[in-house]
Amino acid sequence: MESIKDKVAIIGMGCTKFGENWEKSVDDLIVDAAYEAYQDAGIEQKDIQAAWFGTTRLITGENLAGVLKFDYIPVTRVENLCATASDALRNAAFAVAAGVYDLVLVLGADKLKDLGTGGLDSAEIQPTARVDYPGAAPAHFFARMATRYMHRYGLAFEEMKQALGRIAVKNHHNGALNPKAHFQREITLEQAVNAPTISWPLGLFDACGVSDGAAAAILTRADMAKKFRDDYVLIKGMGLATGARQGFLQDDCDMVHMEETLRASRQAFAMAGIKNAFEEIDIAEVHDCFTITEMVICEDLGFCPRGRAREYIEAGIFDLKGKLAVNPDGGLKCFGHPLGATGLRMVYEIYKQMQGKAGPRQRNNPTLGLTHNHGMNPGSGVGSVTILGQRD
Amino acid sequence: LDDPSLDVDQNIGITKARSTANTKGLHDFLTFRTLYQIFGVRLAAMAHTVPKKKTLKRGNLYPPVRPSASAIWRDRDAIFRLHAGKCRSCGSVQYPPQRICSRCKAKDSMEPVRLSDRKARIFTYTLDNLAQVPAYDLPIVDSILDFEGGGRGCFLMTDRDPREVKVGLEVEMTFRRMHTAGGMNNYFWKCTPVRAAGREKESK
Repeated sequence: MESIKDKVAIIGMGCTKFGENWEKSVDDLIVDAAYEAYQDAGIEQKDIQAAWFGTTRLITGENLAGVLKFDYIPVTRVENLCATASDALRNAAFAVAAGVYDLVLVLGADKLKDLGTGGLDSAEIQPTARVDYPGAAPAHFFARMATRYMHRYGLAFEEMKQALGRIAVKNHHNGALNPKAHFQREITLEQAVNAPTISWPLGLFDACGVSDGAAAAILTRADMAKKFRDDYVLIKGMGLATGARQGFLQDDCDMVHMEETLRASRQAFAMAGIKNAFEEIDIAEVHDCFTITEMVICEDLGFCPRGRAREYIEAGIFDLKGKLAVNPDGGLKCFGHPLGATGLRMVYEIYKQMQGKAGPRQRNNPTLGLTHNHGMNPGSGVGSVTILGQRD
Repeated sequence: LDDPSLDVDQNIGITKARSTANTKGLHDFLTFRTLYQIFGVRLAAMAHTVPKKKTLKRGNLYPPVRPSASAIWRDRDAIFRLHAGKCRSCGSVQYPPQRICSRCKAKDSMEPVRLSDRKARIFTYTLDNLAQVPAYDLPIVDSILDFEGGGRGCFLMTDRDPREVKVGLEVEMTFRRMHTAGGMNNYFWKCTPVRAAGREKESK
């Protein structure tokens, strides 16, 4: 098996403001993200040879072509739960690495606010009782993980709420520095801890925003990237792992880690040659759909030892100015979470950080960044890890 | 009942207590006085009481889909008998029954095992205040159970006081209506705390 390392370059990116974009249709979001990416790369749409479209709604690859008016180029629609955009990027990168195409567009978009509800659709309302997970909404998956985490590591409810609240405060702080974020307000630890309970033990500020948004990337072969710009970003490693429902079918699954994340990170770290993720990675955009998810992800990715994420979080190690900035753009928590766009939004932040264009959130010359997604239940979902690096 | 939205029908007193492995009679339920109001709300759904108004606005964010008779028929053993599969090759119990064993990958090796009369313990759970499923009493208790003798499943809990729910709590299974749509009921199993202490008192 070959590594994807240094074979594919990102030479342009675009990202809409995420949030309640009532005045914009999904078509508008697609156009805005695509044209920002074209402009950033200094290309015209007619240069694009193929496109990958990530979305979780019932729209298809035809929609991307139909909206952007491609000239009969191939368009592939990708759906892979919360890793949808990351998997679209992965498939596009493989096609470029194979030498089939020189210049491709990857675009992820979802418009969730038109659903008219605060959360996502429930899995319950099915023709029969769902015998595998009746009544489960996304908050349940991770609330149950939080309950088990407290039990496993002997944390009192108050201790857990403080640690989770600290993550929410951090991500709100970062989001407040980001004009494209869904939520741009700071919160206090007291607000986070005392917020109404959504799905115990998780409260309002433990849950991410459900948003509208789109993000796009232009990829080319690494050896051609210099024709377009000097500060391109290279793909160093990619991993994707899909659970086979082990979380429910195997009664020794501990539910305080996500095997998908572990396996995906192993693949990506091996490709990128990463031995110690905590020491080597400067910035990480991880899938904080809920605060507990960020806590467990940090352990799964090796950013801290198992059961000790709380110490690291409370010591500020994952803060914007900490040793390893986790979710410097506000994360799903505050940047928002249109499922089909999220993975590319994460790459957008790493890309801007590496180019020194992250404004008030700018870290001191980050050279290695990570993006991570997780969808559905631990042991019954998908995990994705992408490693990005500065050139040379 | 304290809930002003409910009127108790006269017939509530003469409901016969049925006694099977999985079903408690009304008398058994009423033994646990702290749950009296919760039972009252539940009983409203069983037509013993007459709701004057819709008790909850939340819990029906999406209209329930009409149950599919053919889908229910195909999965009848897993749904109504609560059959899990036990792998003949590796012995592990899995719910719902699988064509391919999750552990040893053996194909079509599962023999049925009935979970409905087994006790289980809560592995983990959440108390959901914004449930999207039809609900008479919030929070919804969504629990992951580990069954005696192996096997894990995800079930809603009923006839419970949210304050008593904790990891390790012993539960038993009870057959319930999940939702009704298009004139069809959709039935499935829920779990409920084992009331051993109350039964002992009863026998004395």
